[in-house]
Formats: sequence, C-alpha cells, structure tokens
Amino acid sequence: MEGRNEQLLINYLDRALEEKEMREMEALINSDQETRRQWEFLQLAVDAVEYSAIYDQVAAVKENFRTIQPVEVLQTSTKKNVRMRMRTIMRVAAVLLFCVMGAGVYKYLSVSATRMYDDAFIAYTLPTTRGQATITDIEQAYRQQNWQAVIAAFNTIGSSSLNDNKTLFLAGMAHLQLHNYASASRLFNKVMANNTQRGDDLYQDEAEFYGALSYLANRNTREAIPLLKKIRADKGHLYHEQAARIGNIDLQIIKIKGGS
Amino acid sequence: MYSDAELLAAIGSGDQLNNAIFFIYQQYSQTVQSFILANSGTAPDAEDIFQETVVTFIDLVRKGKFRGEASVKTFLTAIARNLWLNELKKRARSGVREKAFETDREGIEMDVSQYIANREVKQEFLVVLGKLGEPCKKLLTLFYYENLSMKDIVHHLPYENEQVVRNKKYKCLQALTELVKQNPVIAKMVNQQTD
Repeated sequence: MEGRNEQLLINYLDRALEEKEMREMEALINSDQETRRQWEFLQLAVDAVEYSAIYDQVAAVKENFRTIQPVEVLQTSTKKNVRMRMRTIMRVAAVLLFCVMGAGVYKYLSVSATRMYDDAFIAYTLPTTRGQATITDIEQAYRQQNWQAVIAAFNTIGSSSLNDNKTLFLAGMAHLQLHNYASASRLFNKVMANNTQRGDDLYQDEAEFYGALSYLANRNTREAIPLLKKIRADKGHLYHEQAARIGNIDLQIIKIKGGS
Repeated sequence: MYSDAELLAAIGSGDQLNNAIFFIYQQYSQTVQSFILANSGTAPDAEDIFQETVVTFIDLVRKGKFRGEASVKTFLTAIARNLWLNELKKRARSGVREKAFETDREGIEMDVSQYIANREVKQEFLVVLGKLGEPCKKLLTLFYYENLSMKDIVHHLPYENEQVVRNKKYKCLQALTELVKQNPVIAKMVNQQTD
C-alpha cells in the first residue's frame, strides 16, 4: 500500500471518512485492481486479528475447563453404565450438586488477577505535612497527578534517588497509574529492599500493598499472593482492611489460574 | 444452560463469550472428541480438533455466517468431522485412514466445507500475529476485536493520549498488513482470487 492511498483505505475500513470520501473509496476499490488487492490484504489483516483473538480466548477457557474438570472426559464415554437408575433423592442431589458446581464455575470464571486489582486499587494521596519547608519536584508533580512529570523528575535525580524511599515509592505509584506494572513492581521492591538493609520501615506498608497490586495487574499471582497474605495477617498494617476484603477463595482461584 | 438461540446470542454479544465457550466445552467436547478418537485420532488430536472446531464456530457466528440453520450440536459435529478429514488428508495422504474414516460416517452429514475453506490461511493468521509482537497485537485486538474506542484504549494501554494510540494503531495495522502480504500461503490465496 502506498502513502495516502493506504491511509485512506485504513480510514475507509474504520469508517472514519466523510460520506463522499467513503463513496469515492468504494468506487476506487471496485475499479482499480491494485487498490482492490490492497483492500483485500487489509481486510485479511483484520480477519487475522479477530481469528487470533478468538483462538486465544478459546484456549484460555479450555484451560479453565481442564482445571475445573480434571476427570478423564474421554474415558467416560466408553464406560457409560446405564444399568442403575437414579432414585429421586439422587436426582435431587445431582441437581443441587449441579447448582453448586454452576456457582463454582461462575465464581471461577469471574475472578481474575486483573479484576482483583481493579477492585482493590485505591489512589494514593500524598499527605500534607505541616511546616514542611520545601516540596520536591516529584511531590509537586505527584500532587498535580502529572505522572509523566513524576517519572521524569525521578529519572533526573539519578542514582541518589534509589536511596530515598519516598521518591522511589512516588515514582512507583506514577508507573502504576500509567499501567507500567513491571516498572512499578521494581521500584516498590527497591523500597522494601532498602528497609531490609537499613532495618527501617519507611513506606514499607505502602510498598507492600501497591507492590502486591502491581503484581496482580501484571498477572504475576505467584508474587502477589504472599504479599497479600502477609498484609492480611498483620492487623496493624496500614492496608490490612483493603487486603482483608479480598476473599480466601478468590486468592485460591487466582493461585490456580496462575497468570490469567 | 443455554438453548441454541441463547448460545448464539451470547456469542454475538461478546461480553458473555467466555461463559458461552465454557458451555460449549461442557456440552459438546465429549461427543466430538469421542468421534475423533473413534476415527484414528489420539487424545491430543481430539483436543486440538475440538478447539479448532470451537474457534471456527465462534468466528462463523460472530460474522453472521451461522444463524441456527441446524442445531449447534449438528453444526459443531459437522465442522469437527470436516476438520478431521482435512487433517487426515494432510497427514501423509493416508488412503487407509481416510477410507476407514469415510466408511464410519453415520447417517446424513451436513456439508460444511464452505464454512471451513482456507483452513491453512487461518493457521497462517496465528503465525503472522505471532510475528507482529505483543504490544501491536494487544492494541489491534482491543480496537478490532473488542471494539473499544481510542479513548477507552488509553485506559488499557500505556499510551499518553488518543492521538498517540491512533498513530500507533495505524503503524501496527500497516506492519500487520505487510506481514500478511509477505506470507506465501495468504498471498497465494489472494492472488488466486484476484487473478
């Protein structure tokens, strides 16, 4: 596809042209063989996106199905035994069991690490300190919710910022707000590592909670679950209540689901 | 539990798709996979063919090419039979296997060959998307599959604003189209159609 023609075809595909331009493009596709050929490739590209997305979605559900139903489905078909009829009580039990399983399946399907993240996330507000003489660029940018500026200021400070837990934590939060989950995790981990090294607890609770959330958002449940369990076990933790709202069953489900 | 009509509606609506796929696996995987096993297939063959059957079925329903002309069970079984026959043909052109398969067909079978044409092209779709890279794949999926607006996509991906998303999406589609063009299997099909 060449230049403007390519752009027009994409806009035509996305229905982003004016009505007159749409008609002109349609006429060009019908009359010009090369344009028609390009149009077909473009449609195939979109078909490929859709097909691949369906494939991924079916594969994910298939995995869930296998986890929930570990019974050798294929073997049962050859072992069908119809000799015994179910008594009424057995049928009632089966219906009840089915309902319970249905509820279980629904629960299983509806719980995911990213959804857990969405439910648990609360924005971190920087507290105002009375008598604070100076406000750093990072704090200023953070109060203005200018996440890019927070990161830029953090990068400007250089290696000395790696020793300042507050700076590290705020930069981590900015990354979290921008959905750069891996970068956020790295900075929260650094906060915790600094505390371990110094025997300190500056921004420890915050780093643990938002560290767990950044792992959840990044579907890294193996790292998220121990942190959440730790917070839930500590009644004095700043984020105990938030973490306690996440149910045990939900934690078990995301543990089974792994990265889903 | 879904009736056939409810199942098609759930697939069409999109937001119920996971439940619909799960239901298909619950209801039909055993029947279809048993059929593959009974026709020279192994357990992994049966799983793979059923998965491809479900993907094909969802794709057809989403594109409005199946609207309940037959029951879902009949249609799924017919797709699986056709895919499996196709696979057997592909594997070493084994006359013995095909013959065994053909003679084992029961009753009247639905002709779904038109629906599963270009199977190889579909498989190449997965190859080109694999080459595209995850960020582009994600962005194009959100736009073309999940039908999210540029504004919504800003909340899902780490891009600054709608204009950045728009530019990125344009470049990604451009890159994907180029990969599609360069794929010999897909290009051959387009050439056959346009010649």
